[in-house]
Amino acid sequence: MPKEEDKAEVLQGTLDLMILRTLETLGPQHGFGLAKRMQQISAGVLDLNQGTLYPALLRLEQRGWIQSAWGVSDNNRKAKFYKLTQAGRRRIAKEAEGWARTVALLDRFLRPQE
Amino acid sequence: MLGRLLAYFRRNRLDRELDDEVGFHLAMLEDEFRAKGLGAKEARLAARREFGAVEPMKETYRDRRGIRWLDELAQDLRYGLRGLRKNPGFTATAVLSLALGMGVNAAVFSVFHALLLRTLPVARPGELVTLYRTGAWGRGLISLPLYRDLRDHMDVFEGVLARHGVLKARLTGERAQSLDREYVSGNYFSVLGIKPAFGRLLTEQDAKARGQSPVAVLSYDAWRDRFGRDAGILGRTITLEDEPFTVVGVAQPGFHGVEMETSVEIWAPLTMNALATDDTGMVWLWAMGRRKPGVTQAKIQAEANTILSRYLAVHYGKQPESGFKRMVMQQRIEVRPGGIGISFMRAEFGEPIRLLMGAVALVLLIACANVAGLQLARGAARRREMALRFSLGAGRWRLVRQWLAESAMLAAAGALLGWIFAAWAGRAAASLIPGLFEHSALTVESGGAVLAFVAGAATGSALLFGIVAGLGSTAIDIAPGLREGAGSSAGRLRLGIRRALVVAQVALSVVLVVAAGLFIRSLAGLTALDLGMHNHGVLTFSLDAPHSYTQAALQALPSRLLDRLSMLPGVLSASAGFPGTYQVGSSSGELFIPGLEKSAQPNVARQSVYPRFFETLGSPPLTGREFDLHDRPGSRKVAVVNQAFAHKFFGGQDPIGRGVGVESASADTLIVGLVPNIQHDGVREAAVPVIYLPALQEPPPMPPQFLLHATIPPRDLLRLIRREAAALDPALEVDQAETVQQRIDRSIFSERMLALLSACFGALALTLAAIGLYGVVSFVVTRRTAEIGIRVALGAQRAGVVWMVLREALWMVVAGVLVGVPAALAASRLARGILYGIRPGDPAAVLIGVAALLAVGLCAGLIPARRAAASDPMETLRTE
Repeated sequence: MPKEEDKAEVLQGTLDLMILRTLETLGPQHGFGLAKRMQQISAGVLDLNQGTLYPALLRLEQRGWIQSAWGVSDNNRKAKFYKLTQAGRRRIAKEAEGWARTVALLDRFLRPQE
Repeated sequence: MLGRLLAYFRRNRLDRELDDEVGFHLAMLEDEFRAKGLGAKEARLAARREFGAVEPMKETYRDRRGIRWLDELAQDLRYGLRGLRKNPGFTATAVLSLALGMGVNAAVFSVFHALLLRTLPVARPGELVTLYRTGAWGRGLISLPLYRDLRDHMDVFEGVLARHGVLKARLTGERAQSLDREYVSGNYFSVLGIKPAFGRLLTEQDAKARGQSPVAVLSYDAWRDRFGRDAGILGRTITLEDEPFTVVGVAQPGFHGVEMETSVEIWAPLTMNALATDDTGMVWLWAMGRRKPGVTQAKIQAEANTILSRYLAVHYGKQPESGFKRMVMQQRIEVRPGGIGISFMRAEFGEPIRLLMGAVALVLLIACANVAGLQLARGAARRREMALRFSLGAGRWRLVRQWLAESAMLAAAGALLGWIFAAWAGRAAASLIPGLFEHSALTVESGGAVLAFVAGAATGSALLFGIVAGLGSTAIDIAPGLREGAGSSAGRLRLGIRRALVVAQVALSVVLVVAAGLFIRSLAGLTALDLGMHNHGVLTFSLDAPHSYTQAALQALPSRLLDRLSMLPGVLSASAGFPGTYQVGSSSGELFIPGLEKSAQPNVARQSVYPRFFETLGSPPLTGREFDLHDRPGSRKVAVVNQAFAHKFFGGQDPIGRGVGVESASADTLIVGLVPNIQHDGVREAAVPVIYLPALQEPPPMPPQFLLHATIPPRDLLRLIRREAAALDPALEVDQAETVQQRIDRSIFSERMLALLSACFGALALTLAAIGLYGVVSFVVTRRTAEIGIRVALGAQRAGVVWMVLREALWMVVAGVLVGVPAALAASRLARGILYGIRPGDPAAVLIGVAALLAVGLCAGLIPARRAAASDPMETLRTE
């Protein structure tokens, strides 16, 4: 387990991209599954109250990037499943490009200056 | 209520869903922790910790859900605006159609509101009624004794007030000006529920005895504007018409009396008026009552009748049977609503304005149909986009809402433009009608109620064409919709709706054009009437003399002025008469006609006229002569009668040489002339028997109306008249100068207004219908380009192609006419009371309507038809 001070606050706007990207790789998934997978990928670095996922999911749905429907989970419980829409897929491409630029930019600043 | 209930249930359902979702998440976490070996309780706590605070999250979630519709609305509006910007032609046409429709509605409504809806600024205006007397002389007015009876004995009222009507009163002071004064009963203010701004108002004590209480109350506006907010106004004495009045108070701001067209500046007790006598024959007061709560109109009516009958029995019961008594006994009191005040213009224009309101509503409907048709046409062009959005899972309601958002923007733009147009048109109209609004305190506002009305009309319209266009455009079969090309069943549905809209437009236009035809024909009938006088250019005027004139000096005045006027170069003839022609008011008296029963002796309209009266008006005697300078006091008593008189009393035989008795029981007045029926009262009145008496023999009771037939233009003539009057006495004032033609025009003003405006609205409707027709026909031509190309290639004649397209237009026109004509016939019955000389179902008017629509149909169809026929078959087939 990483120490507390190494845990990262979720940067504004990044949570959306994380959710979208996770849905893209996993396919349709419920909120719990998403939370598990995201913690797994972040290897525990991500400091996330799992509950904060839900308002984010609602926001993404309202923007038309994901869709939801009720279904049954692996252990036969009723659960709400989320799935990526076409618009969501396009959004990922766009956001990813933006992130790549930001990272590259910051990298230039952080690299030891000659 | 229902909406709130639905929202409540909806919210509950959504909240439960969120609870379920969170519950599932927590359960999964708990399972996980238990699998790691925690106890049930610890597992639950750990799950909670991992999840974070539940309630704040739910709160955020709910907030987020709440603003969704706002988000979507903003999205819809943005999207709609982009669409409208991309199609400027469509946007301009739609907004312009709506602006015209809304504009005419706002303009007519502003007058409708001012005339028929605005209530008096008094306490509980709904309780006020006016008591309007009919029959006998002086319509509407009552005598002071009758007022006292009504005031003291009508239990259905909390109070009955009386007032004399508003007249100018000369104010003597440092500079000459006049105040609009009204004599009122002592309870006037208390019945209306008006409070003083300061000082006191009139009380019953002020109106107890004649001439005893020279006090007056100023209106707030008069105190502010005429007396410069004089702080010492209370107790100040002002002189009105040479009589002193002490100001005792100022009424509450905003109150100007109960007449809509006038604005009272000063109120005085009616006992200060010289007319305040016990004479039952002097009718000079208007009565108004405040009914007690819960009292019905019928009950008031019954009680008024009872009191009037008792009054008539007391004062006239002992009179011998005569025409006079019959007339007196026929009096009635009509109980009318009084909360919207008294308006003479309402009596004249109320009905026409109601009809015009209906007409402009139809114009707006036509405009809405136009916009819906245009939107559907755009919907056809956007069907691929719609189908795509459908297949991506957008709900139909979501798409319809998009159309509604676009409609709302169009309607808002149209309403705003229309409202501005109406405010401008209102001012233009007021300036076009000199003399009507000029001296009138009736204000036509464009804010407040009018704005609310326009907003309501815009909302209704947007919903109407938005839903039609939205449902029509989103009725899509996805598969064919996505493919290029047409011919889907949804496309046919859309075209069907557009055709139905055009048919409706045509039908509504028929109604409006037929109405215009009726009003124009009615007006034509009125203006073509023979009024019995042929010099319509004759200038009429009255002469006001100072109060200091004695009766003898007053009576000598007309002849002195006529002598001078006859000498003027360019004047062909000059005369005068009382009451004269096209004047408010009339004069009548008892007549003795030999051979008639005593009880059948009539009461006949009477005119007192000077020499050359008939020559000046251009209605020379048919037989006999008119009065001349020899008919003077002491000479043989003579009279002239009109044809209606001769017909009624002498069976159409020549009346010359017969004798009648004028206010005498012997037939000592000789009839010396027979003149045509001259319409003195108004174009629409039936000809009544009139007897003309020589003014030189028996002077008229009041100053006469002067008549001047001249070859010089009225304006120059008026200057000459003023000069001649001033030469007699500089204090004389020439007033009410108007040509006979102007007086006639004013008497049929509402008919002229109705004809003009209905013609405008009819033309507007035709234009809008033509745009709608043209749109659909061109669309059909575009769709059938290939078919037309093949037909032409196979040798079809151009004429055949033209006819094929024209048929499309004519088919819609015929369908519209078939619906419209019965509707027009039904609607025209509403105007029955206003039409003159024609019946509501006048065939000529209906024919005008049908012909106009057919002509419009031909024009709107011919342009696309010729284009289709002129197309090159090779070209059109290649594009397929």
